[in-house]
Amino acid sequence: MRRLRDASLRRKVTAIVMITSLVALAMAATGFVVYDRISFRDGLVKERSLLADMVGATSMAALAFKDQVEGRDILQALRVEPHVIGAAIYDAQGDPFAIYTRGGGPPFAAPRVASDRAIFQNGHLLVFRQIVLDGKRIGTVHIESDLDELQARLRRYVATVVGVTAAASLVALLLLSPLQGIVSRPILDMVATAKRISDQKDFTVRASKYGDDEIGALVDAFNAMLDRVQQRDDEAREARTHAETANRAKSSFLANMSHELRTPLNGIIGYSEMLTEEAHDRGLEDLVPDLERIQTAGKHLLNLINDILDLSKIEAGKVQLHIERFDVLPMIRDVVSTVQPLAAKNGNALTVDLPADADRLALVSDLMKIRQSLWNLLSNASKFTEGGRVSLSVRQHTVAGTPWITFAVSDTGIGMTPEHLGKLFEEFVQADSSTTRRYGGTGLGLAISRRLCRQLGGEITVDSEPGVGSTFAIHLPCMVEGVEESGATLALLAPAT
Amino acid sequence: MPKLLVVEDNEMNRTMLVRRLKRLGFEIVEAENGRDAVAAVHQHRPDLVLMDMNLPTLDGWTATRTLKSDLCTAATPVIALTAHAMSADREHALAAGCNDYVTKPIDLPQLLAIIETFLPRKADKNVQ
Repeated sequence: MRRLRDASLRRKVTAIVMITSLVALAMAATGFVVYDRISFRDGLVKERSLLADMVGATSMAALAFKDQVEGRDILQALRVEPHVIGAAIYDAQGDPFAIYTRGGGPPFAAPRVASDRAIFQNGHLLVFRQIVLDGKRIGTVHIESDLDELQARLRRYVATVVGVTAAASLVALLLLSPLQGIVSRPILDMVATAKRISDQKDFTVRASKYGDDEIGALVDAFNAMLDRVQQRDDEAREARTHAETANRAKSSFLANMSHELRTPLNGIIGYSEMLTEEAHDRGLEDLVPDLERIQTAGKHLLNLINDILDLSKIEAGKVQLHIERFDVLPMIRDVVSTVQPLAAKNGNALTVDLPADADRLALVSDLMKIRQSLWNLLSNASKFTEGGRVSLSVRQHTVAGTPWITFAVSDTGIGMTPEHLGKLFEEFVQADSSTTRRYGGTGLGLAISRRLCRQLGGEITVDSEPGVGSTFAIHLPCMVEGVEESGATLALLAPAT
Repeated sequence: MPKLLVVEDNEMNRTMLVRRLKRLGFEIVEAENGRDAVAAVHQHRPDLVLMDMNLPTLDGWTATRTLKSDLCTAATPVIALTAHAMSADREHALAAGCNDYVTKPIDLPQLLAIIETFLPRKADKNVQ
């Protein structure tokens, strides 16, 4: 039963039809056989009784004259019936008068006389008929027949039934293959539809209806459900498009705003720089510190605006990767020399731990974006550590057979609690709100760095303990996949002569 | 002193850059858009061009491409003045044939270092 439950619909329909028709056929055949057996036996009983009556009628004279020879002669006439194995004529007292035995068989032992009856006994039919003359019983005839004919008939019958059943099964099977489609095709069609929908996420597909039966109702219900799903899918898509449009508009607004803000800011920074130069030239040294403050404040504001611009560009999907082959060592020197003054300002020692083959280390990635991320981590570490140590270590390793590089920036700074770590990479979130006041910054640096690293197929991880320090690590594949090395740009990067 | 062409549409930025470069002794020619810039290169034969990229009439990329494809002007170094590092302006500038780039706001010492690499024989020219 379990096997049938797991079998295909086609097989199930076939099995059900075949089993049902075979059972019906078997029952019908059994009925026929039983009926035929009964009617054959009835017929046989009548025939033998008639035979016995005829023998009785012809043996009346012999009985009357007690002529046993005549009696035996009469009985010899039974030779024509091969199935009669023996016969006897009894006299009025019930004693055997004449006995017949079928040729080749053992001598027939006549049973005790009995009144008119027909008995089936041990596969034989025993018939007793009284011989009556003028209302007086003058003797009895007994005929015993074997039932070989019945058995033979039964065998022929069984053979016929088996043959007919086999032929009927074959015909049923042949008829089933086209007919079972009526049931299975709509269901298989619906299964295929459901599969196509889940594979291709195309909710516009509908199952076709073949008829107004239960499966038709199922198809209708299925299609109605699809209507709902499609409707919901459309709504969701629309909502998403809406949200994306709104987000793009926001990012675009931010990008434009930032751009517009930068122009006057460039003026402020530029003119304060010029004034500082003038002040030096004219010996007005007392003005220099104030002018420098304007510059510092201006540059700080510019950094904030740049961060917002970066993030909105990343969000708007406007940041393109610029993949090139470059050496790691010059990039590290460059970043470290930029960060060095910042580290020194807070009294931090900046150390770099490079692998032995650092001078041969090259990446195929986006130099500017890695440099920006690295600078972010290093300047953060320098900012949040005072009189401590900031170290950068570079390590090459393999992940699933491909070479990766890890830049780890460790500090002995203020560290962070696990709750702070969780929010660290979210935009505009610093470890706590007082941080912004104390240390400055937008809180966008890590969010930007993480997005950049992810764009390059990598990730930033962090490990920290309050009061002990933090380790930020940038993990990147050495070769950015799916992006061709831009040879054209490479050529242009070489200094022109 | 070397002659520089400063191409910048924003008047304040241009004035600022010109004044600071003049103070250092450079001879300056100015242009407000790409078309004027190409004309100025032909007319004044500057030693180096500082070119903003977002310009009216003819943008900086097209102007640079025009200069670089003309044999008379191809040798003149063009330094792109681009928006800050994340911008794609930088890639476009290099692709257009700019020899180098400086991001705005311009860090004067950095700009001077770059100018230096392209005009190493400044001293020789002074002699002439």
